[in-house]
Amino acid sequence: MKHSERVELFNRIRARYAMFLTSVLWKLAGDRELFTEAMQYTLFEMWQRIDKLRGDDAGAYLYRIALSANSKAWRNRVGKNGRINADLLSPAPGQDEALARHEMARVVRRAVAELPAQQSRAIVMRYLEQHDYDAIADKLNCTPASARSHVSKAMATLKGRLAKLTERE
Amino acid sequence: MNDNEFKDILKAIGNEPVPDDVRQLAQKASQQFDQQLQSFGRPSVREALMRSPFAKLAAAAAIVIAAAIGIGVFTNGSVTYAKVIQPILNARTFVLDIIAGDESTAPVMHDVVADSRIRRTFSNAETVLIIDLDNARMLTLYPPGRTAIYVDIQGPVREGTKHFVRMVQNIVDQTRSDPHVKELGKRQMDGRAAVGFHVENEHSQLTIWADAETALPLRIEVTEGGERFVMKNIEFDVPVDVLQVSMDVPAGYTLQDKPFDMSQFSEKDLVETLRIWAEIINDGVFPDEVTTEAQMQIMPKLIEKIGQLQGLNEQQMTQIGVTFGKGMIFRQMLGNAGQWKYVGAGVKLGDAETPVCWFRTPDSQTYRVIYGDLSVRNVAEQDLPK
Repeated sequence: MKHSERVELFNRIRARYAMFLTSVLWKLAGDRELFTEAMQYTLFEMWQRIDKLRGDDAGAYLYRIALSANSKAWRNRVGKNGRINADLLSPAPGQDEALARHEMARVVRRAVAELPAQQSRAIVMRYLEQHDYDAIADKLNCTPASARSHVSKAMATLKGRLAKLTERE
Repeated sequence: MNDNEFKDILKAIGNEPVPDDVRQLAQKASQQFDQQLQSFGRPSVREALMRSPFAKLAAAAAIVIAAAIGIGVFTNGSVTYAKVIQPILNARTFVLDIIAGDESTAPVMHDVVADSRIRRTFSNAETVLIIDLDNARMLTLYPPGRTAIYVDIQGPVREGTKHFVRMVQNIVDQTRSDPHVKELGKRQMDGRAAVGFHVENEHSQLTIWADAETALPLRIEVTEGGERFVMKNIEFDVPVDVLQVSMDVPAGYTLQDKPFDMSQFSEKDLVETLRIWAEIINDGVFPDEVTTEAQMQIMPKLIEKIGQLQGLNEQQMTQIGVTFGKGMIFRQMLGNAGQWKYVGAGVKLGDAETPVCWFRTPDSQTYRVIYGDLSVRNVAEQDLPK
């Protein structure tokens, strides 16, 4: 593809999916620094894989790119400010409930970022984007029953990851 | 934690709205990526022919800014002697079409005016301008590329635009109160009975056709600074969606981080405009005329030609568009002061003996003559080319 075509296609896709990407990445990151990093990775991957974003399934492919970018941003965070206070997983009496939920959400986000790609997509579509199983199946290119199975497995994995994260922290 | 609590947390995350500052972070990341993009691979020479949306935006923006002035920068308020604004002219919003030059061929500017904000679109360009007269800023949007840029219009651009809007508001009052107004009688206009008035002074001529029953203006014709403008399809106090005149960058648009400065204009800009017109647009020959109408007409061609220049990066292409626009604004300022003469039709670029134009600024005793080689010389009035 010529550079000019590539730039035009990239700009068109970016404009079309800007709101979607912002929304998904913010839900996944929940943190401005992480969000910015994930957005940068996403844009870079979009540019690198622009050929695959030409078809009707561009949206589905962007999902993969965004989730992968989010995971990468979270991985880079380990050892920096990504520490999770284990106490917040079981709020002490009198502790501010909103703060506890906020921190809990952060733990869950981190756990989602560590899920295998297929499971990550399934759980994001089901609970963060709140799609029904038919829509998830369509995006994952599988049957609704398989989509349900992916979500179920993702939930189990997520709980396991969460337990490990708690132990690590 | 049980399954339901876990799902609740996930759903709560899913329901979180995106804060405004996060949207801005997204835009910033996008802009930073654009800057990095150039290092991923430069276009080949052949691909230099490509026209980037950004370059198009820049060129279009620069040109339409110049067109936005139209009339009245150095004038002494030829249409501001109306002392009383009639109630009907206190409309907070109005819409109208503005045509510079020949009505049958010239592009149309469509204005939606709401207090000190104007939304301006063009029949021959996809650029949208949102002008904030109070703060002297303009937001330029290019919908095909989903790009946006802010322009500083402190100075002549703002004053010229203000003057233009004010003129529309004053004109009916003027024609009603001026004792020298000539009545043109009645005629049918757009299926309505219209009454015409004509008034003129040393700087301008105004003709207005108003609805015979409501006295609301239907059509206004202005000749000033050697140029003719027609305003029509005028509606007062129409509902205007605040988003139409919002200075915020719309969702999904990428904001360019380097704003244009359109606050300073000089002879040098005019010389460069003439060079661009002859060299880039007109195959080495100066144009038949350098007017707002001609400028509006050649706008698409200029954008196309800039895009075809080889070996230039986006910044350089942008600079050409900006320079062209600035030179046209300077030329309009001269024209409105009545001290501008263009004689360059058919003159070849590089011809050091033949004058292309001359002008005198209000604070100068002598004229400046620009020749075909774009040299500029001081000339006394009695020595001007005949």
